[in-house]
Amino acid sequence: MTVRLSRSLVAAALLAAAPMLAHAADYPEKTVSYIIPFGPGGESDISARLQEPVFKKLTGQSLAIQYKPGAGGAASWAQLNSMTGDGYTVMGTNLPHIVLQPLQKDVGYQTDDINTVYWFHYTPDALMVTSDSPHKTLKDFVEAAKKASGATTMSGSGTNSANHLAQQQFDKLAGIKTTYVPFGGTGPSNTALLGKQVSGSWGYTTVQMQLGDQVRCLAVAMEKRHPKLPDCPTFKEQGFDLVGGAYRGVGVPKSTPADVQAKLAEVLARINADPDFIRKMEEGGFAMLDVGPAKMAKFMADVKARYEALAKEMGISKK
Amino acid sequence: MSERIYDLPGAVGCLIAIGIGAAALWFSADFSDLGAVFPRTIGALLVLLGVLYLLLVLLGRTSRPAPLGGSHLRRAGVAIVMLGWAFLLKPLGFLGSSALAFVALLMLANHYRWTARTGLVYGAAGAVLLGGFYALFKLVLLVPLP
Amino acid sequence: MGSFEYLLAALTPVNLLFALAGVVAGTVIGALPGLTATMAVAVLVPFTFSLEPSSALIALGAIYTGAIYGGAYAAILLNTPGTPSSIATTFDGYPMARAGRGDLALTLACLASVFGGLVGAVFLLLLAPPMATVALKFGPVEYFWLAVFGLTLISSLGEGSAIKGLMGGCMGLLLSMVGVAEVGGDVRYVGDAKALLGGIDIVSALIGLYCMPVLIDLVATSVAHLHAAEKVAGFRLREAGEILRRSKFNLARSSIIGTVVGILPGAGGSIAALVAYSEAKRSAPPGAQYGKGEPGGVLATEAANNATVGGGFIPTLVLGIPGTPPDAIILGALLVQGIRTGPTLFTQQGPIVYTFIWGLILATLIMLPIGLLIGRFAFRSIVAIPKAVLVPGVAMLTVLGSFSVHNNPHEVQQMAVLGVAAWGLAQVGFTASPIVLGLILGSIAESGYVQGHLIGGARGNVLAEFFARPISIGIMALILLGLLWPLWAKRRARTAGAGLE
Repeated sequence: MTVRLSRSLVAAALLAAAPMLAHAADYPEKTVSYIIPFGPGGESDISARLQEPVFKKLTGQSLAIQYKPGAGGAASWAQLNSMTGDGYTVMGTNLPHIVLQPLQKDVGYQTDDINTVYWFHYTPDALMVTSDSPHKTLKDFVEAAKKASGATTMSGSGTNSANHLAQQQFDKLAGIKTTYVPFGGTGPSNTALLGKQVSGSWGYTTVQMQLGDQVRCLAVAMEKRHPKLPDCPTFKEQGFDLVGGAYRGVGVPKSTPADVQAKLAEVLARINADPDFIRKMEEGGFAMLDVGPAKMAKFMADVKARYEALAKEMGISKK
Repeated sequence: MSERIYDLPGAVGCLIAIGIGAAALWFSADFSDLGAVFPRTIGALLVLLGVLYLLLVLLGRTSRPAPLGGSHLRRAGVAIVMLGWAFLLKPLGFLGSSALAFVALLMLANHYRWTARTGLVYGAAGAVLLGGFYALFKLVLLVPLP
Repeated sequence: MGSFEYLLAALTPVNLLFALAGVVAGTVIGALPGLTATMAVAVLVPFTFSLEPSSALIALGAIYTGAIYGGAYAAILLNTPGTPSSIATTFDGYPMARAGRGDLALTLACLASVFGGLVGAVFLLLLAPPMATVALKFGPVEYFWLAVFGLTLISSLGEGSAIKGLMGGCMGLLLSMVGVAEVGGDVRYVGDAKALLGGIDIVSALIGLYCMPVLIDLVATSVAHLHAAEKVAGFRLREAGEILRRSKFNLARSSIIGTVVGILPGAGGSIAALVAYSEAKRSAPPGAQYGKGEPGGVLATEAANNATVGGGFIPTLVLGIPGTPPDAIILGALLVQGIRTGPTLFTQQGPIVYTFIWGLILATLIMLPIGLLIGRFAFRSIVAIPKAVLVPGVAMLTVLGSFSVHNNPHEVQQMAVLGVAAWGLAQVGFTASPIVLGLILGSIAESGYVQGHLIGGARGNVLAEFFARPISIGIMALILLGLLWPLWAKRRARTAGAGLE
């Protein structure tokens, strides 16, 4: 290559990079499209709606929330990387979904295709029964389940979802066999619980908060009790090592420039530090989490390993 | 029953239905147990109903629908334009594909002679509709049209 | 009674303004095929965050009820349900329009919607907590039988053979299985088309199956699409009033059906309207022309679907479980405002709830004059616009509508493909309604069946699970009634005819 050619190549590269650099400095300059891969009213929707006003406060731009449900989120995640990578299209990402779905079947994407910029909260698994259930503690529940193997029915949202995983993990830890009955979402799962169609329900702390006194929380999958649920013991306290739930984050197409991604992560981190936001999230039953670009690689590696092991045990790694 | 009426279009429909039912059954071969129950039941039901109706057709105990009048060419035209529009939406963008489709449909739907006046008026109406809906959806309802 | 102070709170100029704006916006959005009540509410929710909770609720409720009503426009004038809840309105609404009585149909739709909406809201006001417990008694098995009931109704409505109707219903059921199975997670009937992973979208299918055949046939001749019978000024209110007086029982029954179905989470306006229509047809005097333009048909469906608005709020507010999809969005909006729904809502946040309910009642009343006005405008426009412009204009709406549901160009393709296929199927005797209803009921039927099977299996007795539950038995009785009635009615007509000779 002649010197002249290479110099013009460098110039061209700089010219091409310049708008991107300028972009990052002023990002965001217009409304950001926030795509939620689920229907409205769910945890992903609510947390996004709570983020929206804080985003506006911090950046002056709006977050336009859109719903694109389908195939438990897979329909949207499969399209993520074909969207414009300029930082103005972001998408909600969820664990365990993005690890489990590709393991199970060909859903149109691989876990590594999904580029999450920030994981900002998780909803810890919670085992619930109705408030008039004979089971007052987790111990009662486990004993009853041991006596009648398979007869205890647990409702939950979705097959091979966080709820399903929690049920499988706990069954193993406690040495019991319960029957998981999947429903199309948290709403139907709750209806089944309240209507006593099932013996209990695997849900999240958010569900517990939403249903209030109608349900009794037997245990939550957290390290320490949730600040807003002081009466609900953790699984760990009661001798079962179960910590986890569904994690939610914000992702962007892979083609998004690194500095725009960094800026986005920064905004998300600042939203996560907003005391009002934290208060509202915790009141809703969410548990805060901060995994940004710095910790992302290790977090994803850990999470992938954990879920892959679980999937193999559950027998859902058939591909 | 005095008169025997043979519903031939209906018979064709039955064959289609039986085909769909059979296909549903065929492709359900590798579904899990829980996931296969419904497809197989409905597929079988569809085949059964199709056969039942075919029997009725053979016995002449059915009724024929009224024959279609009008221009079949224009009908086909609309079908082609709509399919084209749907598949060209992304490549050509909303404004591009819609402008083309609009003009095509205008021509298909107009049975009267084209005069300069109707051409102008319809064209203007089209532009207004196109622009108006575009604005409504993209700016007010915040729908990201391609 | 303390309630009246909430009525006064709802009557503030601000709240009235929101009710008015909400009804207008909702009606217009609902009228456009492809834009559903759910979308209308979702788009306008962010604007309500800065409002007082009760005002926000009133605005959202007004939009919701306006949109459910607005769906009747396209249903009557273009044979395309503007929202899924107006599917059943096409059965008699469109034939009425074709016969030159479109304006009468629109007026009836407005009056019935207001009536139904009021009934639903009154139930919400007075009987919410006890009715919520009804919602809970319906388990997966009941939903399964309810879906089966809906499917048997389909066969009895078809113009044409009942067998063809059932076949159409089966095709719709198969369509509902495309994509990832809700229970079990199988990927079914997708092949290589990743776009189908999310299944066939109901709204796109709706638009395609109903509207495309109409458009295709419209271009075939030069005959105008609709005409107005004689020079009729005004809203034909006197005529409508007469019909209403004759149909008191129909209206009341349909509104109650709508309220009860609305209370069941997951069952919305489309199912309510279908059941109400079927009951109206069944109890109609002989000589009634259901399916060919019987006013009672429009009354039944529009009263039922607007009643689901009030009914749907019952489980939403009392239990925190959304009764219908727009309720899910409203629940989310409430949570963001910090309002926790549930049994404590009525006691702790009483003022907000009661102000909202009165606001909903006011919005429903406002819908009467507004609806009539907008309806007349819509009718005049559709009649006056030359076909040459009408066809491309409506076609553009179909494209926009099917795209806007999920901002997905693939759904426009689904719409077009299904639409052309629907025209073909209509030629061989399969109409759109059974297919669409099969599509809607498919997922309810399947999940109900599989969940019931799992629960029954866990309890050790699957058969008892399906056949020994009281509510299920009641629904099964209705199913048998629905299947046997037409046969019995035909025999009765035949013997009556023989007697006359």
